[in-house]
Amino acid sequence: MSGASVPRRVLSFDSNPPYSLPLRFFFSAPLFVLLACALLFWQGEAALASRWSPYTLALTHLLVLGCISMTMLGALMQMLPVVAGISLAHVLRIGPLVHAGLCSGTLLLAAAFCWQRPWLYIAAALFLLAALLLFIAACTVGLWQQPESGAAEVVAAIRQSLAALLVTLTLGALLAASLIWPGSVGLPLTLLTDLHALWGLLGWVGLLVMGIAWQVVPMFMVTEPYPLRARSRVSTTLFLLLCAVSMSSTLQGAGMGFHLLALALLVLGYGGFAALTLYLLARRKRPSADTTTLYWRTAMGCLLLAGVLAVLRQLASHAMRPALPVAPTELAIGALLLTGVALCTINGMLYKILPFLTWYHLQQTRERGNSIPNVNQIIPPQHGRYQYYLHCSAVLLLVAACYAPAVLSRPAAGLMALASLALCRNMLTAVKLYRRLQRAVQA
Amino acid sequence: MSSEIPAEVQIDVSGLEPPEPMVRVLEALDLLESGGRLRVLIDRQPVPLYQVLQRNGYSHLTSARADGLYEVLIWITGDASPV
Repeated sequence: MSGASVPRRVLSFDSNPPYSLPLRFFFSAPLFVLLACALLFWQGEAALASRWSPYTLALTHLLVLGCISMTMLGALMQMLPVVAGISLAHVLRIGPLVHAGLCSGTLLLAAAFCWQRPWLYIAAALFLLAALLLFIAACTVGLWQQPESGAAEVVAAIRQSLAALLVTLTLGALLAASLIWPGSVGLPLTLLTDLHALWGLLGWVGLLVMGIAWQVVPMFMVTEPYPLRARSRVSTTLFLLLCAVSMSSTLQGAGMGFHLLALALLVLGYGGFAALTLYLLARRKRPSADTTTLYWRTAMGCLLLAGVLAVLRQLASHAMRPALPVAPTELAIGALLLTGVALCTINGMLYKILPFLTWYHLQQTRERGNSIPNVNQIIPPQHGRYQYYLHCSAVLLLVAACYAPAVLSRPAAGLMALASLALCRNMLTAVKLYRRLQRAVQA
Repeated sequence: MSSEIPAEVQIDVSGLEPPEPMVRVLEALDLLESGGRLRVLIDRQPVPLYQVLQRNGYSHLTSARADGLYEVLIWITGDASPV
């Protein structure tokens, strides 16, 4: 290379958040999964007794807040600038505050469910409301900006997903208030809980997975793009269906028919998204599926299965002799959505995001003699695949444990913990490489 | 060396998995000399690349094509604008 051409390659890459900011979210996530596994192992059958058991609620919130929301917030801080050219306001100051608030609030909420102390609920609600409202406010400022062209559908789904988070948070705060001061809310707890779960799982998590999929499935898994008609309409339609389901949830007679129709369309919409994603992944031209592709296929398969179970559960609740027991099937749908859909998507994305971030932040050390490995070798592919099989086995066992908690809940907890430890180890491989090459430059 | 390099270099990075498009563009920028232009054909708006370009003295102009791809024209800031 000529002398004249070398200096320009010393490029500045530092306009994105620093390496450590998303990583604190990403590394916290498997630690909360480990905590959830410890709780499941400790309580065994009691933690999978029914969706109303306090230990089940603690378990669910450790996963949903400590792992799933944790990773989604970290990924949003990282992805909004990359995908849409949108910077979050004061991200360097807000990021650590949101992380600390979410960690503290999640731990306090899990403790509140386990020990049923009003002051724990109050403290948990304060931390979670502060952290999540701060994050939503920072995003609102950022999302006010016009996104880069081509990112409009992604940004629309992210906006809807954040709106769903706000609804989930409000319903959660009402539920906390009704637990702290019984009778204060004046709304049926069952209805509030159902809507809270609906908006959290299908709104906040589901719409964000969808918005991210529009961009990352074609980009990282090199598929054909999703049809523009799907990208531009599906997430908005599903958001409106969530509104319709919520507002019709207390109706009787013909109104009840409308409610069931909206619910059916919601299930069809998410099922259609899963089927379309599986179709695109099946037609990709790459010969072999990497860990991320395997995870996305599994996540979409679990989404379809959860839809089928939801329909069977609905039929079972009206049947004299139901084909499936209702309460365990409700738990199994939750387990599939949390560990099958959300955790599989998150794990799959971590295997792309973390090596990419490591590669990206190491670029500046290249000029000083460092040789940066190929992005696909930063986490050895066979380690990722091994962790994928562990996680899938754990999901299967957990779903089975919903039907046979006395026998399977502890083995499921043990296997899920192993999968989380393997994920931690794989993520540490990337971070160790980053530190080693940074040190080599500084020496 | 400059006589061997055309005034405008074109590269097609569509269909490549990240970060390969950025790697190819950075390699092409290494060879870009004053007065030269780089035309990149890519699947999507390369937002991280824009940030790198802006911070390192390059200007760019992006146009969306009818087939869904994007064309990014890059030149050294201060050179005569190619458009």
